[in-house]
Amino acid sequence: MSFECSTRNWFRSLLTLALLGCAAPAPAAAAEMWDSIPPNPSVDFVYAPPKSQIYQRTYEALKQRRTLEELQRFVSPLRLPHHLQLQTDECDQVNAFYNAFDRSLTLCYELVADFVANAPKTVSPDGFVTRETAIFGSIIGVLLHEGGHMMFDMFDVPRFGREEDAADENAAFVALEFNEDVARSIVKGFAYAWKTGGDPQATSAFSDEHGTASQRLYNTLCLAYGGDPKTFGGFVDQGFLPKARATGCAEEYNQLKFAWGTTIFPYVD
Amino acid sequence: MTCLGRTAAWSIAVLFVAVAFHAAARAEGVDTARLGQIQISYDPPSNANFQRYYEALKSRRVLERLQSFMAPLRLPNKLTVRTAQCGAETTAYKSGGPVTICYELVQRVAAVAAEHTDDPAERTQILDGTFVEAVLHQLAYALFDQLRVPIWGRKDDAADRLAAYVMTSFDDKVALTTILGTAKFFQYSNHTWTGADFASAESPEAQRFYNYLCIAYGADPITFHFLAPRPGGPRALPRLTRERGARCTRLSPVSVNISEYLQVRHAFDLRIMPYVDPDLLIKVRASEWLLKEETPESPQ
Repeated sequence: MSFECSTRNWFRSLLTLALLGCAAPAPAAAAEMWDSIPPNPSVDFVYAPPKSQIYQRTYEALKQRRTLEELQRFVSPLRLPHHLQLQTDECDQVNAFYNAFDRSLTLCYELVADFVANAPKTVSPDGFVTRETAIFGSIIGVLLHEGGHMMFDMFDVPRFGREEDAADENAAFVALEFNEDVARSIVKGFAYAWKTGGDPQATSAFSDEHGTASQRLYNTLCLAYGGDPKTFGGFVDQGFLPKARATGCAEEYNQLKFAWGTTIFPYVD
Repeated sequence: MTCLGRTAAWSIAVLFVAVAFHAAARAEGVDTARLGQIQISYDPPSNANFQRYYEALKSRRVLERLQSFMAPLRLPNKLTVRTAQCGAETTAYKSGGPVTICYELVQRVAAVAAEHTDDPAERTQILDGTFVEAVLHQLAYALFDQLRVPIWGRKDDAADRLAAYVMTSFDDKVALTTILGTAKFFQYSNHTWTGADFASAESPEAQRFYNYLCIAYGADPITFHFLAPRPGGPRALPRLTRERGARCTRLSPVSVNISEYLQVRHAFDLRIMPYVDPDLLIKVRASEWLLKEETPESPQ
């Protein structure tokens, strides 16, 4: 199933579900729900046409699905002190990023294509994710990660820990605010992106400001389990999250919940 | 006594001389009446192998000196800082304290230093730096706890970054000794992480190594110029990569709005500084931390 086909309905409906925390509506109802939410007046968006033909379909699909329009409404409750530009673009790199200089958040066509290419055809061999979850969760997880960078900048959030870990934490925390099904999809899809990555061997590779793939995987699984052990207990039971780490996950989640509530929630209507 | 054991014993003796804080030696300059919130304790070890570390720490009054160093902190509750036999190199800080430095860690640091370098000055640097790091790292946990500090990112990394920030907040000599000593200990630890090791809530030594160097380079790119991602500097110490170096020191084109150092400084100013006596801090900063007779004699 192509990204375009697979995301036609569920991308919109799941994100809508996530926001509203209700059962799966028909796409038309989902669109109606989105339209009922006023866009954040501080947020603009643009779909930049790709230079390369290979990303044309991705560009058109994201545009047709009104991805950025929905994201603009998704951040509607945030009282942003500065203008935010949302954009999809061809970036010459497999990435998504928040740029603090012009306060823009960019989702690269290359990254979306990469998620599609790396998603399992149906279900991953270990049964961890379906294709839909891998693609959906990865995209939403990345947007929430970059949204973390954006909020740290916009709200001048003090952070003693490492920025990239903090942004991952934001993704996990926001994911868990949604209903169980959506939370499970985002957490699993986001974690899947790290599950398929390798860990560095050379010392110099540990210089990276990001954690290793395994660290990011375990961090995400731990926060999910710590925040909702009932929904995510399978992570421990099935061996995806070692018990030694799991014992401290509730405390890790509570640390994050306190940080989110103290430094970001005051900016949420 | 084995060669290693003899060397380690010598090294630890050096440590407790070198870690002598002049700030404390000049305790008359520090309002000792205000030290009440920090209590200290040397817990006797049950294992005779640690007796010499216990005796050395106690006779050198290391904790008394640290107590004076921490005098500017206005903690809401009492905090005990102790040395103890833990059954492991480290023991996790629990809410309410105490801050614990384990004799097992002191022993291992001494052994690692003796094993990896014959340079007495470098051994001293590793011993001094790592001991101070261990105290500041645990103290960071206590501050997060007592001051109800919201923590973004993994707490153990946050404690490292706060410890590194404090290390770089004093004179160049202290910054160099503590940062490089800490970094070299991580470098020489030679612990390879694989598989489920990465599930730990703590970071690999290699990551901690770069985290300390990053804060130091961001704090003072001149003193720590040899960490810059370019030729030059001590070859024994790996440099920051170009990408990480940019994050440490200046505005980055993407992802982060301020350098890693400024992130920590901003967080410190907002969350910790309100609990610091600025006048007393100036007195402590003006004091010399390390004794001048740091270069030890060769071990017998």
